Amino acid sequence: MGCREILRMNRATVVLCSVLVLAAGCAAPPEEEAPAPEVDPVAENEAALAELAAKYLQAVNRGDADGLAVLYTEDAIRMQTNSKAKVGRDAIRLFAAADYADTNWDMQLHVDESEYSGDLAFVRGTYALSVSPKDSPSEVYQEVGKWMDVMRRQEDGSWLIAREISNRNHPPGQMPEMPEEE
Amino acid sequence: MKSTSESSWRLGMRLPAILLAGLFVLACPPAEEEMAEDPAAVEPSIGDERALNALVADFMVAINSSDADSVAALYASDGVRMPPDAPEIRGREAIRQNLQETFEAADIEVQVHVEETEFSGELASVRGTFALISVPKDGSASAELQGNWMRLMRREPDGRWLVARELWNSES
Repeated sequence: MGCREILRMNRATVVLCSVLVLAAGCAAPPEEEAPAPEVDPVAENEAALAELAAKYLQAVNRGDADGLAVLYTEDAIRMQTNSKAKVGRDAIRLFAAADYADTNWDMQLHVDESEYSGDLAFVRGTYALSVSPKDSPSEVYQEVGKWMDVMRRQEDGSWLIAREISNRNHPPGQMPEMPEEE
Repeated sequence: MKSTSESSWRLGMRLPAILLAGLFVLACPPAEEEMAEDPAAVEPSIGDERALNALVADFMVAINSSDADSVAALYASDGVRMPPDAPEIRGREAIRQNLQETFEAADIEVQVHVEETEFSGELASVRGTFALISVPKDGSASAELQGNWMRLMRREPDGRWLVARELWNSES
């Protein structure tokens, strides 16, 4: 590990390493130390994000409001199309539970791009949604649209949704062209 | 705003670390290349905050005066605008043309309110609400819309903040 890497670490570690390295007088050349494990932060972020998207889809398609709500931060704000903003994980869970109580949801998600900065990720993509009343499954409402999320990295390295906004790609009442099921 | 006592406590905790890190730097040979900056470590200045608020004010003035060029100038060259009930519009020139068509068909009066801003390095996430009235020039009924919006802002190399991504929706 080189000096630069050590400087990038947090304060406590810097204090500790400074003392250790000062004591050693920087004698040990970096090459002789055990190499740090190769971790590609972008690949790591992408993998965590893909996992979050998979959990999201699973929760929506199972009508699992609890499973959906835990993917949001406690103070998350969900701004779904054509409805008032839901503030907080509990509000998100309650409104999702009300939706899932009498309708079945079939959703597809696509991530178009993601950008990372510090502990935030800015992610956007598209969705396709079919909703049908449980007591009248042939009455299918379809919608395609786009979404944008701000995600926040948690202390354990996982990502949660902090802000979410979405809208339709077509006027209400217009039957959209649905993508092929993946 | 952090309280003074908290700030001094934090400085008190930080000083030994800063001193030791300083000693450490002196004791070590200089790095061959510049240390990569942690983007989140770049503190936004009051100027950044002011620039983002000014952009929202400029946006309202430009929309309300049907000035497509001035609205489009607030977007990054690869900016993406995601309006409700329509597909996304990619790139500043496409955004300008779309606005031009919108303004040819209707006069728009918009009020934009910023609820929160979060900076992270060269990026910032801004969110708020809006209310607009669209008055068609063909004399048909005007339409009102209220809802939420979110923008991803990017600081350009010249220091200006521009809209990189934008999505808004109706709350009804």
